[in-house]
Order: sequence, then C-alpha cells, then structure tokens
Amino acid sequence: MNAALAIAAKDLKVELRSKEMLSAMFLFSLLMVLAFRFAFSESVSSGAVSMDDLAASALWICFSFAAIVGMHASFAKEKDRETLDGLLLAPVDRSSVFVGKALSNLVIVFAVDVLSIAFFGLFFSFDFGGHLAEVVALALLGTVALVLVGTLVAAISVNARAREVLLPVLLIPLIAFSVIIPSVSATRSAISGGLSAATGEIQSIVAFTLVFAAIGYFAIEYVLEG
Amino acid sequence: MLEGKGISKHFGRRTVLSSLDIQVGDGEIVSLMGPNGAGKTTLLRILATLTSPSSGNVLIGGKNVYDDTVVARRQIGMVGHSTYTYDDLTALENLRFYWSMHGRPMADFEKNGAAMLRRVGLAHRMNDRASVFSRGMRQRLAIARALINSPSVLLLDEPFSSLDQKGVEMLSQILREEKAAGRSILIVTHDTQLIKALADRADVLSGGKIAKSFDAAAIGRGEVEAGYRASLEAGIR
Repeated sequence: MNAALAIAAKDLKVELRSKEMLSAMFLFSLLMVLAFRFAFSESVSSGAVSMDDLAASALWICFSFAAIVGMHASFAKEKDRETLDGLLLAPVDRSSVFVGKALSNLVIVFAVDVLSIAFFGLFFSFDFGGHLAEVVALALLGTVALVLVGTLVAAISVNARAREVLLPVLLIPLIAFSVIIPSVSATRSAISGGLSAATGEIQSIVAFTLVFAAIGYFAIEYVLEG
Repeated sequence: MLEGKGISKHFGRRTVLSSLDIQVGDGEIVSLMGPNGAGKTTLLRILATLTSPSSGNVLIGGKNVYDDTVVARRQIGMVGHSTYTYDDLTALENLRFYWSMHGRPMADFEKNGAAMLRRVGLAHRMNDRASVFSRGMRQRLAIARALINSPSVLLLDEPFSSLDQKGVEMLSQILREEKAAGRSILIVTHDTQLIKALADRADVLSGGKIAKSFDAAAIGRGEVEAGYRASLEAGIR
C-alpha cells in the first residue's frame, strides 16, 4: 500500500506542476457546460426539457469524457517520457502500480467532476433540487468505477500503436451500460428527491466497481508484463 | 552472482537471442559488446526482469528471478538507454520517489539523499527539476537512482554515453567501488579503452550467442579491440 501511495503522490505532484491533464480536462468541462447552457436555455425555459434530466445527462457526459482524457495520460505519459521501465523495475507488486495509478486518476477526475458540478450550478442557476450532496456522492461512486476500468484499459492500451483510439474503443462499451446509464438514472433520481428509487442502479454500480477492482488488481501483472 | 542460462528470445519469427549463457561473478565487471541490433539491450532487459525470455532462466545468487520478481528486483540496479527520471520532480524528489518504491525508511533517505547525489556530482543541483538538466546530468541522476538500493547486480547499458570526462572518471570510480563491494556488474559499451581500464572479462554478443569471450589477461594484452573488430568484419551477427 505504501508503494501505491508513493506512486499516487508522485503522479499528483507531477500533475500539479505540469497541469497538463488538469488544464485540458478543466477547459473541456467548462466548454461542455457552456455548450449545454446555450443549446438548452430556451428548451429549459419553455419546459420542453426537464432541468433534472438535463443536469443528470450533461454532467455524466462531462464526467465520462473528462475521465477518458485524463486516464489516457496516466500510463501514456510514463511510456512517452520513458519512465515506465523505471516504475516496472521497482521491487513492488504490479498491483501497487495499478492501485497507485487508479488513486491519482480518481483524485484528478473527481476534482474535475466537482468543478463541472459547480459550473453547471453556476451557469444554469440550478441548486440540484437541494440534493447537491447526493449528486456529488453519486459522482464519486461512478467515478471510482470509471477510474478502475479506465486505469486497466489505459494499461492495456499503453503499448498499442493507436492507443489514443484504442482506449475509448475499449472503454466506452465497457462503461456505457454498467456505469454511465445507471449513474445518469441515479443522479436524476437524486435531483428529484427520490434517491431511494435508484437503489438498483447504485447496487449495480457498486457490484461493477468491485468486479473491476478485483480484475484490475489481479490482471495488471499480466497486462504490464514485457 | 548473476547467471543467464539458455536464454532465447524471439520477436515473431525473428530470433534475437538463441540459448545464450552468460555469467557475472560477485565482484566482477563484465563488458558486453556486439554489433548494433545484436540483442545487447534485449539481453539486459531480460536480466533485469523487464522483458520475459522466450525460454531460459535468469538466476541471482542461484535463485530464479521469476520465482519472485519483487525480491529479484530489490537486488537489481539498472541504467538503461533512458534515465527513468521525472522532469517535473527535482533531483532529490526523483531519488526520494525511487527510495520509497524500494520500501526503505524515509528517515534514512533524509540522512543519505544528499550524499547519494554528491557521489554523482549533483549535490549542488539537488533542488533543481530534472527538466533543466543536460543529458549528462540526467545520466548522473540515473546512476544515483540505479545505486539507490545498494543492488548486488548492476546492469548498465552504455552508461558512459553523454558523460563528460569528469563524469566518466566519476562513474569509473563508482564501478571500482561497487566491484570492491562484491557487486556483479554487466556493462554494455563499445569503448575498448574503458573495457581495458575496468573489465575483468569482455564478451562479444553476436548471432544471438556469446560468440567470443576475452579474459582479463587477453584484455590486458589489448586483444579486445582487434578481436571485436574481427568479429564485426567477419559479419557474425
């Protein structure tokens, strides 16, 4: 666990200094929320589109794409800057590398999630039906699932020639039905004050998270083997 | 002692190493030469557990490294083609990270970190980010990183490249000290003068095997350069 924390701390320090991923993810999130603001302002005013539906779907589009942008870089940067071998030479289980990378990805992606929620609230003057805490908690739960799958897929695709294409091609089908759709549904329920109706979705996200945590933890040894 | 036994490596249909045997004793410096593309870097990566051999075994102290790669990696220090250093971290932070990856007490690092950088001539730049370092300074940092765990096996791939004359002397001195401490040291280099100054044996890798081997006496008699050139001219690949 110490090695995983050391990797996560190193990644976060490097990211805070370079701001490569954070700035791209931040701008992407801002642009998405602004686009939704201008595209849907009239529909929302006229009542043609429910604010609860729009918030849930727009936020999860932001979370998912920001996560893909961010997680792609987690192993790719190590590969491109020729530090991956140094990491793999370290006398630690490969699972520590997976946990460390997943932890740093989680912190970065969740920070962007929180910013996206803040942008959405600000630009739409929306208080999430007074259920902001539930929305943030669901963002965290869904992001944990996204990050676990995304970190594993990023490791799988790191040595591929077309990894920029491979990562979303592998990741999106995996997360679409297991994380994104249940998360959108649960977030909509939370905003409308009926989170109890989303118990099934939450359970399915938790189950998926546990399954991918186990797969990632045990499969990473073979994924990163030369 | 580092041993490679019957190591073969294929990339698709191409055979790079073919039932190769190599041995580096405790307190011994062996240099590895060979034409470009002979498989020297591949061999070093296999010995370092970074690449799996298609067949064969790697043993450190008589134990197969693939029985427990974590334990094996604790005994290996490597300087590769790349320096494995992070541009956005300072020299000291780079070493601190790799120290923590070796699970060593951080209190010891605070005592020894500056001394490790002093040994490679970087103490005065310990708080500078690696991004502002020249290639030679990064190479010095890579040498400090490779020595961080006092490894029993040192694998060095063209470690003198990019070093200035002072750096070459510094690394030569470090290698003599590490040899005296009983390390098994394998160096890939084409510099026959350095081989003469440092190596106990010089092996020529060609055709996927150790094609020629020069002992200390042959190195002393200056046979390495002529023998190595003859291997290259004979086209043994």
